[in-house]
Amino acid sequence: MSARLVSSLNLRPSTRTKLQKAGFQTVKDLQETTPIELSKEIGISNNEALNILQQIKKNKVTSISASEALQQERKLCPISTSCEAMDQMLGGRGVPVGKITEFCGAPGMGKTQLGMQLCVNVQIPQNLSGPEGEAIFIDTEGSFIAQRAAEIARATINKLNENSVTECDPPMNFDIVMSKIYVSKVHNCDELIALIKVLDEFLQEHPRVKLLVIDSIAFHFRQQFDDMALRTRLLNGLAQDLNKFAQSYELAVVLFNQMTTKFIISGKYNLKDQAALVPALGESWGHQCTNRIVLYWRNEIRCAQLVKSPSLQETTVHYQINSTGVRDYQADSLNSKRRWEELYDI
Amino acid sequence: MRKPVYTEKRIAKYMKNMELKNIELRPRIVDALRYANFETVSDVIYHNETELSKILNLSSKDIKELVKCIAQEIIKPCPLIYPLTNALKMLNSGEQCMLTTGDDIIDKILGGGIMSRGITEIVGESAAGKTQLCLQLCLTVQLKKELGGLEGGAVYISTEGNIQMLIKRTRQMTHAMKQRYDDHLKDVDLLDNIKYITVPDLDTQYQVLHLQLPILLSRSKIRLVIIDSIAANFRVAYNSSNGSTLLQRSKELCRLGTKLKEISDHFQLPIVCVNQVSDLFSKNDIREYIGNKDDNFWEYDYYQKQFLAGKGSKIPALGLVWSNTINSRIMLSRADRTLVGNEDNNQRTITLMMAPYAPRRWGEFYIDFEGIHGKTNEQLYY
Repeated sequence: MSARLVSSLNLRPSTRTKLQKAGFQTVKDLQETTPIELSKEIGISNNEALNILQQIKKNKVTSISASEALQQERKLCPISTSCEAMDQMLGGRGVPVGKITEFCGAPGMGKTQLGMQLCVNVQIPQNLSGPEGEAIFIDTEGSFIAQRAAEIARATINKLNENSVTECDPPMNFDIVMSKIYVSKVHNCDELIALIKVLDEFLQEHPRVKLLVIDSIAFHFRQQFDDMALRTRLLNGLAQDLNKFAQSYELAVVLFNQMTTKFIISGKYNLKDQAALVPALGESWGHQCTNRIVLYWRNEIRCAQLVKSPSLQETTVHYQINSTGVRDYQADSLNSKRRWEELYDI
Repeated sequence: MRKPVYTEKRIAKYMKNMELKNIELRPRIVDALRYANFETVSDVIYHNETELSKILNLSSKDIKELVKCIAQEIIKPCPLIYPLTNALKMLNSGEQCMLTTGDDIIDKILGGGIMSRGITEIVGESAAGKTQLCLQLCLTVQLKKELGGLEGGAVYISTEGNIQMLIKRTRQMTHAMKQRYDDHLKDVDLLDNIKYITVPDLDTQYQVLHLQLPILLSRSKIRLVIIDSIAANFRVAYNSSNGSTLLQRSKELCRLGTKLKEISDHFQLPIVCVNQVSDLFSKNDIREYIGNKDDNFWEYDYYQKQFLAGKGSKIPALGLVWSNTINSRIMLSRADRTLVGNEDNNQRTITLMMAPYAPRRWGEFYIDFEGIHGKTNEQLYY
């Protein structure tokens, strides 16, 4: 950090030249000066000098040891998905806080359902080993249905009431749960970027927000751009902002991504060649999220496969979605599959 | 049919005023922006702060102020974005309700009817009853809210062109509706509240959907837009065996989807799109089509799923891109009529293929003089 060039700082050009003329090349040179010294030396006002030094101080990155980081991470409570197998796959207790997690899946896989379930589960109180936070749901596709969220919230509250040993007071109140899911609906990617820029303020006002869901990140970015380099740059910028949120506000960022058809071909596009389903937004986006899970159907069972994670093993688990939300896969839904097959003789 | 008039001025009213010169900023920021040839708000927010300070030669404080101001300017015209509302408010506002199809059994299968926001797709082979369902929606939308309607008229955008037949059929259905909801529809002229527009080609479709429709919607009390069918013009205009035109088509489709969703939210109405199906052959052929199963099981199972639910070898047209764009999908199908001697050739099924609010359900239905009706109780599977 200290080797950073003075010219790369966010300064007025006139100040920048003054600094360079006076021989300040890197940030390290500036670190030992006081504002008054600096203002005298290069002939700027005290205020301006203070400004420069504050910027350097802010940029200083504090390093922490690995064991400290481990302890910090233990303090963060992950968000359960209500599907035990999926929680196990994600590291034991659910979607990690402080990281970006991406779920990819074809339409109808239950991405939105999972998002709503997480929005409810993030509010499980601490005495039931939940994060007791609030949630933001950014809806780009228009799929957030309040009635459905209410259904999931009621089912989750009922389940918690059954399990709670102490029957003093209900652990969660339906109205409060619903009022702590903040929803925003965006219609194009300009609006999405603008929203992320002002969200900082909102997060400062609502420090209990522990989950940010974007459903889906791909939708707008897939159509507006002819210039792929610009798209990549914007996506990277967005990911940077989200990462900053995840770390500084200790919240879990959950992104949903669509699937797209990739032609595996030599030379020309031709549908006769092999085609495969891959997560949308291309290769460079794949680097941006910490965890990536692909959702797909296999033999009439919903499957979730962890395809990217820095710390966890790649595994595949089954899950199901019913009227109460996301749940563990139960074998009895196999029957419905058989019934279906008999009926149509497939 | 009288074509709606539109002028440049009116369109400008509906487009957002996104030029930088319309935003109040400090004079030195304005100068810097002009010097850097920045014209629209996108120019600003597409750069990050460090880049901006280099391009515009402004201090970091000014840049922060500029970015915040522009961001607020972008989201200001849309109350849905910011300040953030919460789910409880959404639930109580009753904004997200269901439009009834006019038949209790079918409503039950569809999880209440058609969602009052977003795009609902009705897909099926020819003569499966897609148009019948749409026409019925045109009538039920005019019902009072407590009866499951949305208290408004409908726009029927047709690409198939045979408007006379549609009107004839609508009139037939009107009689049944009048009888059923005698008291409520006494002084409503059902036919007068349905507007028909024909779009024979993609150019006209573009013009109608992007320019004329918003104006029409802002002038009259319309609560439903039906596009029958979305696929027809696209399938003619783009050759689907060529990769690069497919790419172009998918972009165009995405753009159309976004526009429709914007219309849906802005004018608070549901959009119903009718889609056609394409043939997909037997399981082995799919495997050949998408390659070795083990390499591409995501693809394989996606198609298999579509294939199973579609009861036969039909998948919705326009591919995965369009499937990603729509909010819910209803599939209609019918027993094969081309088989000679098939007695049971009127068996029709309706399936809710995917929806954010209800699980997948299906049931049988029939069409008679009055409209469409559900036959059996719904069957549920996950």
